[in-house]
Amino acid sequence: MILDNYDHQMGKSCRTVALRNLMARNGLEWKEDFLFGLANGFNFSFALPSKSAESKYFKCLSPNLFQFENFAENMGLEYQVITQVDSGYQIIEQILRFDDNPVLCEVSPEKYKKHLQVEGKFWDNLKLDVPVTSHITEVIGIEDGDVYFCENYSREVFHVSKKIFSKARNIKTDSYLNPHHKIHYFMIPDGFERVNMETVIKKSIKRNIRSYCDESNQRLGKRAFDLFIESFPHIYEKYGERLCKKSLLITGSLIKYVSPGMFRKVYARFLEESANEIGECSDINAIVNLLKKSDFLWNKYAAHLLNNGISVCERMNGEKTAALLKQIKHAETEAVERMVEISESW
Amino acid sequence: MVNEAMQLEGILKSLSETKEKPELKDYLSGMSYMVKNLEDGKRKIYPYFENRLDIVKDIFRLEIQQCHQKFSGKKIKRLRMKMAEGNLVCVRVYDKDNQDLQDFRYKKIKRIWRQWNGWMIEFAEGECISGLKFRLFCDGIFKKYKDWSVYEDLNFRESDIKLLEDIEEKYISRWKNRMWCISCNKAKNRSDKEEILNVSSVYIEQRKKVYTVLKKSRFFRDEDKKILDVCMDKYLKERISVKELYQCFDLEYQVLTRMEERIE
Repeated sequence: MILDNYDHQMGKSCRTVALRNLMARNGLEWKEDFLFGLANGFNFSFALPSKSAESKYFKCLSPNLFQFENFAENMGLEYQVITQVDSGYQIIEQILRFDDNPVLCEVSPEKYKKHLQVEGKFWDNLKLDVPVTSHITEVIGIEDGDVYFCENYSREVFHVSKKIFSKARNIKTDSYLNPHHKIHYFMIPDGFERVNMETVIKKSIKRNIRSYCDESNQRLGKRAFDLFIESFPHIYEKYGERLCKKSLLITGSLIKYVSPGMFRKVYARFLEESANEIGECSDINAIVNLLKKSDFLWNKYAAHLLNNGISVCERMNGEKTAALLKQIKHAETEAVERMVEISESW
Repeated sequence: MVNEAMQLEGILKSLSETKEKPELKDYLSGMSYMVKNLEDGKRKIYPYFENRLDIVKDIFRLEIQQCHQKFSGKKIKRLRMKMAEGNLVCVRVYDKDNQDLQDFRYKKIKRIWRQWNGWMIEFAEGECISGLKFRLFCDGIFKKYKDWSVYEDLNFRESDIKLLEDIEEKYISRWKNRMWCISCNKAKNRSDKEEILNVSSVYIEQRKKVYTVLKKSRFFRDEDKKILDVCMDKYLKERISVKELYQCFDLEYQVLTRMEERIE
């Protein structure tokens, strides 16, 4: 069966687009940006090169692994992560049949990208050292041995055989980021629009900024941002040309394609829209302007990192890099301080 | 029978060591459910347990990272790194005579070190096992249940524990919201109302535990008891129509709604 009249919209992030489309299917026409905020989208991650970690290169992006969990918690939704091996596709078929919703499956798109139509070539732009895992695709049907699904970067409905799709659901790596047949399952009640959005929005902003500032994992949140600003100027000297050359390509790609502008503009739009519900427009507007500025700077920074016309050393330690980092630090720090201030007043 | 308090014993001990001990163990049972297809074409209701840590995260405002990864060298390195960063690290350890995917306990790892013949793991309780032996054991469990959750590990920073919420109120409010989702979702209208579902004994046990917690609450009244008794009678028959199941969900939601109103 294939879902009737599935309204698939495109967007920036696979997770928030999947949520947008799922909620729209259930009568709630929210923009991706708004969902991004409700899913605690304001975040940051940075990892220095490490032999013991998942990557030997430095990496910087806005992570989104816990967005579903955060969205469910903020909204009070029933949310389940199904990790059962589903070789026969019974679980997916059951959700399609009874819930009439897309099935949000975690996949490694590398396994099916060459079988997709033209737009599936999107994946070739990414220059990463490891396969993309934890990508979310919206499965909307299973018919004649094929799986039909939608992706955030295309309007097309793709289809591949069950055999190929199964490979993408469990890649043969030891990584904890392996999709492991994960299905992210939400139960959305009829009449969900009755939820008190003011409470939900305030809860989301409060939880988001609190976890960003109090993050215990040094690769995430404010701790990671501070580490990034502090350590970036010393990386070239410590790790050398070769590692930096590859890392620049990876980090530039991650900022440009995977988390454009660190999604700061997206979060800014969420705040703009939230102001209609929660008021406090002037305070919110000041944060919005800072975040938009930060987004612009992050994109400029990514373009600079990916500019092969400039030497690796210059891209790592040059005057332009230092100036961009200084401006980013200023905009981000002020935005965070103001968000803490406003959320503590609630 | 699934005993969440026992499963989470290692974690709860750490939580209670840090702060005044809350009666959290009473609030670990949830109301989530799932339906499994049986080989004979029938369907059976089970509880969904994998969100057991949500209430802990919520009440303690704790960021618990949960990962599923085979017990490989990569996993050992990751866990060692987490421990070196000051995190408490637990893995699922299944009972030798396990009968079910839920027959496990989260055991806190005290130490991981390298010996001439490979990695060794020492649990907080003092027991040691070689990495290879543990890996083979986990692989055997995975083959048996075909669920990646057997490889689950979790970590969090003990220093971050802050008990900030009223457990009882939070529990009622949490399950009121979730029961709205469960009782009013689209599957209700798309299912065959006359279909008879089997009710697993684990599901009944889980509901009994939740009802016991609710009945002890200061926001519970006699009229609520009558409603929950109606639901329990239906579950106890071990076979329930889809229509009756959703009626029970709705009644449970109504009880929780009234309890929440009394909080306010």
